[in-house]
Amino acid sequence: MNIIEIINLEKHYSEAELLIKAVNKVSFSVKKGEFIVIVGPSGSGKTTLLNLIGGLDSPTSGEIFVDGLAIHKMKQDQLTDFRLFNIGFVFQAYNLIPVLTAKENIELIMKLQGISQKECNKRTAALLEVIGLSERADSKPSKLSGGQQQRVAVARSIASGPKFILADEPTANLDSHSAEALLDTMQKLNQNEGTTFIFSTHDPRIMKRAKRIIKLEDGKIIDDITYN
Amino acid sequence: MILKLAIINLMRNKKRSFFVIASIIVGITGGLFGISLATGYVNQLVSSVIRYETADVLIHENHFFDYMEPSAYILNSDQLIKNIVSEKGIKAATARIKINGFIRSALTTANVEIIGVDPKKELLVFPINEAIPAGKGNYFADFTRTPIVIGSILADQLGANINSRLVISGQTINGDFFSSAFWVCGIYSIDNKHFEKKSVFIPIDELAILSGLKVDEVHEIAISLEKNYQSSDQIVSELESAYPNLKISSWSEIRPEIEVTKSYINLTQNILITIILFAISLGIINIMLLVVYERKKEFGMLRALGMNKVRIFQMILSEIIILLLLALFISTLINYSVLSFFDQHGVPVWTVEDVNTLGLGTVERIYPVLRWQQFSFVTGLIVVISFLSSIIPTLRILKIRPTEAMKN
Repeated sequence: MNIIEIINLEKHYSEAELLIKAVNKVSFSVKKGEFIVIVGPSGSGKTTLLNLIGGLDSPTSGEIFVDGLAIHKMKQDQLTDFRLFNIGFVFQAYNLIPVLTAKENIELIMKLQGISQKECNKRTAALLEVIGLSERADSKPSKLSGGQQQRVAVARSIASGPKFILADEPTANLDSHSAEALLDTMQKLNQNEGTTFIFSTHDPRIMKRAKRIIKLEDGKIIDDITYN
Repeated sequence: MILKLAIINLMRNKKRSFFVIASIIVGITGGLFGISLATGYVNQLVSSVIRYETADVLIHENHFFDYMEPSAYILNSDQLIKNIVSEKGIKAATARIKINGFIRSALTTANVEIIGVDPKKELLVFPINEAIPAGKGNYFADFTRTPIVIGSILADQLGANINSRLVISGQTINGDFFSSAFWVCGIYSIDNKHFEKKSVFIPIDELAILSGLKVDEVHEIAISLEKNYQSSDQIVSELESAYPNLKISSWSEIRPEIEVTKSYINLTQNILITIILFAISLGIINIMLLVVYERKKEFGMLRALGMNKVRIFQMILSEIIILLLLALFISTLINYSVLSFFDQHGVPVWTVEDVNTLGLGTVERIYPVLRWQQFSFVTGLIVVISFLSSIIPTLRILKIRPTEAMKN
């Protein structure tokens, strides 16, 4: 079953009277439980594509359907609510709230969703266990290593029960040990919970674990390989 | 969650939060103190004028103010006073003879207004006896020779003291001049320095004889009201209907410059408040711009994660409201303490001779007065302005798309 359908997606920018086609006639679909990696050189349109799928940016043309809903037609406010309940994000720079503890950062989205404190506590405890940071629950991001912060970001993205998770170069700022630990966590979630992951990356470690690799160049898909 | 985030965010940069609060406190405290000083000053002026100079309402012969001629007098004053005192709202009334003249000591001569009074009745309207300090005599209570009560400024000018001999001169109702010697019986001192400098009191019988008036012929009937001075207009119109041949005036008609001063002070007050509000709003816009732009990326990330504009707006708003409530609470405490202190001790001010010569009267100490309405108005206005000033940067940041904000 496809949870994402992308049809003829285009995103154009104008820069100094020059038209840049960041995403050019891209079409593909994503099934539930996939572990997809979008690869390509810098400027190939990976991040733009993820932003479009995540409803953070609006396409110039083309269509994006998530669970049958046409998100390319949604207004900004509708997209914000859509993201809250359907998409998890993991950013390259972690983007945790610096004044909140690890536990509070994980709880944040759940609280925005209106989930009770009791349920938040239960889910957060379980997620901290999964990412191996139960003992650092009350630490603020500044007291955590880069890898630990990114694991908290992954837990935050999963906590809200999204349909899929978009991870934009999640290992870019991590050392190899932290990157492996993070990928282990994500792979475990994919295999055990059936969580769908879409990565954009240059990291061969992620590519090695991918079930499907989509190669982008100049905004176009040049290859789409599925591994068994 | 929103409230918790707001509180935590405020604690992020304590120094900046402190400066926002401090600027609001300074604005509110400064504005309110300025207003309370101005209100206190006006109240003291009005109170001093009513208490010692004009009472609430004055009655004169219709042409008395044309040239202030001694011949412009009221007839049958005793009967008139009896009738007036029986009117509702009138506490007491007293008859006076008023003649412009000179006073001479061994040292110098001065222009004065000679006021002939019946001390017992006079004290029911003008408590001038309370303005005579210890060691400066009394108000016609104890004397051996023909007494006169003068102001302390005039006493200094004349080089006079208790029991000093002074000679007063003036015009009779027939246009002749009179002159007679008096001995200082009391020296009064009031806030209204202009009055203190020019007004001398002698027994009404003495002045009646000197000026050629009969016992119940007087120049002025001064009336004090049971209510406060604000009701004087109503009494004036009632008396005008009852006595169409007499000139009935409220204190504000006799001393219109006090009303002008009040308006001038109100205008100055409004300009002061406008400047303070403008400065505060600029400061807050500046600080809030810093606050929101510094956290631009964070807001972008929160929006990317699904926090809608309303919630982000609520979060920033909560921060502002917490700051405002804190500032309001502290400034109320400061204002209460400052005003309580100065309410007892007064604020010393310089006596400005230029102001004195305008005849407004000056005060040595101002006792600040703050009305509840003034407090509510200024604090309310500052809260609203601070709030509006914070909204501008907030709305600007909300317009930025999440991807754009996160690029920052």
